[in-house]
Amino acid sequence: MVIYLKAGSELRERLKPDIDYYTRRIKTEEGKTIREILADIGINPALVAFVYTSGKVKGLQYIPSDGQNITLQPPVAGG
Amino acid sequence: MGLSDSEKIRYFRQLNVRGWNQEKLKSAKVIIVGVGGLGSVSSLYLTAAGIGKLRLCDGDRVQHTDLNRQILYSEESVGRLKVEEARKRLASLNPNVEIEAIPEFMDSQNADEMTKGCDLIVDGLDNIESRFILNKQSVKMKKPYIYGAVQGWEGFVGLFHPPNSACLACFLPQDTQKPDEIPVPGILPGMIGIFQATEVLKFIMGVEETLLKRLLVYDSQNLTFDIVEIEKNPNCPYCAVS
Amino acid sequence: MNNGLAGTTLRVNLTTGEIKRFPTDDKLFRRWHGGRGVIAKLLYDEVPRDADPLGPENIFIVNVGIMSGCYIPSGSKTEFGSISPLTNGHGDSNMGGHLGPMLKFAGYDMIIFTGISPKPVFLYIDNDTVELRDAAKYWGVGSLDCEEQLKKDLGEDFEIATIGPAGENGVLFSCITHDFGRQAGRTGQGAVMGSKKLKAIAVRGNRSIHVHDLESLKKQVNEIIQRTKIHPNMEPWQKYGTSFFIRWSNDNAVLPAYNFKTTYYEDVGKIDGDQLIEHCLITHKACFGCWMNCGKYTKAVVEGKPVVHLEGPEYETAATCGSNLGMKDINHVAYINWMMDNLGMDTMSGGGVTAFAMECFEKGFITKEDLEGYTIKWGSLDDVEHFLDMVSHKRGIGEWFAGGSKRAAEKIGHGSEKFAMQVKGQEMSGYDGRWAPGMLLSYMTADIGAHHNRSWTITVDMAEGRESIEGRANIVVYLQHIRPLFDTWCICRLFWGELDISPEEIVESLNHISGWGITFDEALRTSEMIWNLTRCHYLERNRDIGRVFDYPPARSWEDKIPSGPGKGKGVTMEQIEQMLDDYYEARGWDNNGNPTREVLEDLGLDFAADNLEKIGFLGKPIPGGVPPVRGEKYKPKAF
Repeated sequence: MVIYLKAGSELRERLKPDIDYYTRRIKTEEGKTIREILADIGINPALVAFVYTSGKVKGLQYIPSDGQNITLQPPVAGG
Repeated sequence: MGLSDSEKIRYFRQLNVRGWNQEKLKSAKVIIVGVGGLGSVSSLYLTAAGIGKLRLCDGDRVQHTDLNRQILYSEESVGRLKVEEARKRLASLNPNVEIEAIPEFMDSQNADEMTKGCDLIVDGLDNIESRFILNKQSVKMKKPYIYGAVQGWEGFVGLFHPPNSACLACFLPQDTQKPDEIPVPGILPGMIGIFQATEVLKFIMGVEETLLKRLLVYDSQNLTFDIVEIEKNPNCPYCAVS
Repeated sequence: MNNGLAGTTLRVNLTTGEIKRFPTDDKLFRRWHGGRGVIAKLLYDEVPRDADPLGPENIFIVNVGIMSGCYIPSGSKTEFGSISPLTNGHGDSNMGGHLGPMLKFAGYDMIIFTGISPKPVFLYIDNDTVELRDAAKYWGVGSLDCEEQLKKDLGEDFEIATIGPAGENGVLFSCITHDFGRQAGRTGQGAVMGSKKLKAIAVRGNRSIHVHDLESLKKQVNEIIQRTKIHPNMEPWQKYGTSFFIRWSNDNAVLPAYNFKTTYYEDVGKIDGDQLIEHCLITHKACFGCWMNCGKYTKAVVEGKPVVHLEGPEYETAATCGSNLGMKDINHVAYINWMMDNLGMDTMSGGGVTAFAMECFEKGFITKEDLEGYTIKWGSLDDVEHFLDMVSHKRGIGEWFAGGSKRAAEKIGHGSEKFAMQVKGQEMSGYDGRWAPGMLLSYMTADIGAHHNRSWTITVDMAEGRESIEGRANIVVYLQHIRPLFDTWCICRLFWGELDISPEEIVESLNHISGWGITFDEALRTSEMIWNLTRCHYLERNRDIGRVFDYPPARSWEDKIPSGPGKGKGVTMEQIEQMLDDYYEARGWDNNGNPTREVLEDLGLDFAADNLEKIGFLGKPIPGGVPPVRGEKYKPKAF
């Protein structure tokens, strides 16, 4: 199946977008978690704090469906 | 309580904003934990708006490396206690606000004492661990926690008020990787601090549309604002009812 | 009253011109002992923490103390107090002469001035008559000249204290002058008077003072008089006054030279006590009830300048305005002394500020353009005269220096704060602490900034080892509790402390006068109470942990003494930190230098602990508790 990962500006370089400025098209298998998918494409899951999709926040254990847009967010701790 | 004549003059331009309630602001007590980049901005705008009482907690002293973003301070502040410099600056902006300056860092030992009597807790911190302490206080006291965090070109804002909403730990893992020096240009806490102040004012005055149950993700490079929902985690170590 | 008090306190509201009389609160004097102690309590209670020291909310107190004027030798001191504009904390300064006793004979123990007068005034007291009188014709006149004019106008028998143009113009280290050359010099009391447009106080009185047990007092005092008349120290004091010490300080490498660059002055022979006697002395001068007559009434004869008359130069001025400025002629030192006296500037801070300017000029941080075409070079009397003119009128960069060397260094930059020889904003006295670590610690921890009179340890440093810091903290604490005895009871430490009169004997005299029946230990505890209160007050006004205010300027640890017997000696930063750690431990304060609740409650200062707690500066509890006695007794040669 195919999912589309997007990243905010802080993760964008690591994501290596290919479709447009922010988005990368990923081919993956059903039933895999975000954490596993990230590991597959060589992104250290520790660099991602949470994700959101369809306006809802999810954790890295979330299992996406075919065609979903998932936005990755890094841990942001400054102030 | 009523407003004095000088207060009516001072707040003249905001009293007619739809839904505004200056008396409610005047009776509110807010704690800002950390008077750095975020705290500088949220404290300035809350002071200007006329919050009744502001408690500032920070054990730090001003350094030169703070001056790119901590706009409460000046060259003369370097070496001095942040809360004392903040108190002086804010008092000169609005002497009607009662400002308490506590030159200490919040930790699990003193959190109860520090947040006593406050209606809202505002995040001005620069690390994850302390944020979880604030979150814990918010859950314990059932008081709203206005979360804010920045890094690089991005920033987050949230309003957590368990049990009505999720808490910070519902979506942020406790073991996230920490970079050594978090890059923060002044414009980021500038924006996020104002969002935090806005949420504080709306909450106090009873304006319905707030960030409760939601997270604002601001990306200043892409210029996007994503507002996303956070669901309560039934297994949350902090706010799940046992 | 039968306790040495005259009985009436005056409150003068300078804003409205109203003068009120109250019976003197003898409970206040009993608890705080008068003088510096009562001043500390009143300042703490009455001055808002954010009050500008030169604004209307500061109060200015004249306080006479139980023992002064009361059938004892050398009971001559008057205490002045207010929030110091130099340090932004409790400030007090005392002076000898005759004013205090005269005030008591007129019937008054204390005058509390509040507010600011709309126009220049002076306070006129003649027994029951107390009036604010117009001072327009005296405003702008020099301190010494003004006293002379007032004596002509009112009567020779009036005792008069005045400020000069420096105080009128708000030079922060301005002083109060009396009897043609006695000063209440430190902490800028003259600036506070000037800010209130109070030019002078003139007093005459001829009532009696009643004491508790006159017979016992007379008997004890007569015995002391007979003993001290023949004491071997009496003669050198009578002959030289404190100028005796100039040679001694130099030989022992504590005399500051060239802005505390070094501690041995090659040209000391040109400015010492013998030079003063030979070239300048007219007559000896004594204060009320004292025959030590340490005062030296002199003239300064300098070619091209008018002959001027003054009292001095005593030790401090000879050091801070003599060797510290590179002066090579006793007449020049005396002339500078006169200039500062008439302008109404403290010679100690004045010398320190001038020396600082000289070093800034030497290093090129200030230039001839800044100085209106003049220079400010070591040893130049003309340069000093012009510089003092700029400072006293706050002209150009004179304004920077008018705030003291600390503020001047902030404006000048270039790292000059390293050699602005001050602590908490007040300049050092005429002793260098690099080979006398207890003295350095005294400067660092004194409540009013770097003043030696809060505790003086040089002989202790010599006895205990000049390169060691062992036990120094405890000794400083003890000495800091001894000095207030003189400042609260308003007697002169030179007579009562240098002629082998024991502290117990002083307490006995006090008891005969007051009827309090206290012990020496109780007196020490009162001193400790006063000390802690002024520390709390300082923290409440300056809003930071105590420790940050207790460091000396960087020259103290960065520059070893370059010449003379002390060459190569110096204190390290490690020693400074250790001394502070030891000092706070000895005081029962936490390691941040903040008084703890335990020590404050032990002294009955619960309210001060509560106030510190509210602003987050109460000392953290000390594991193991505070020492039961703070400042173990030490018997140095002179205290």
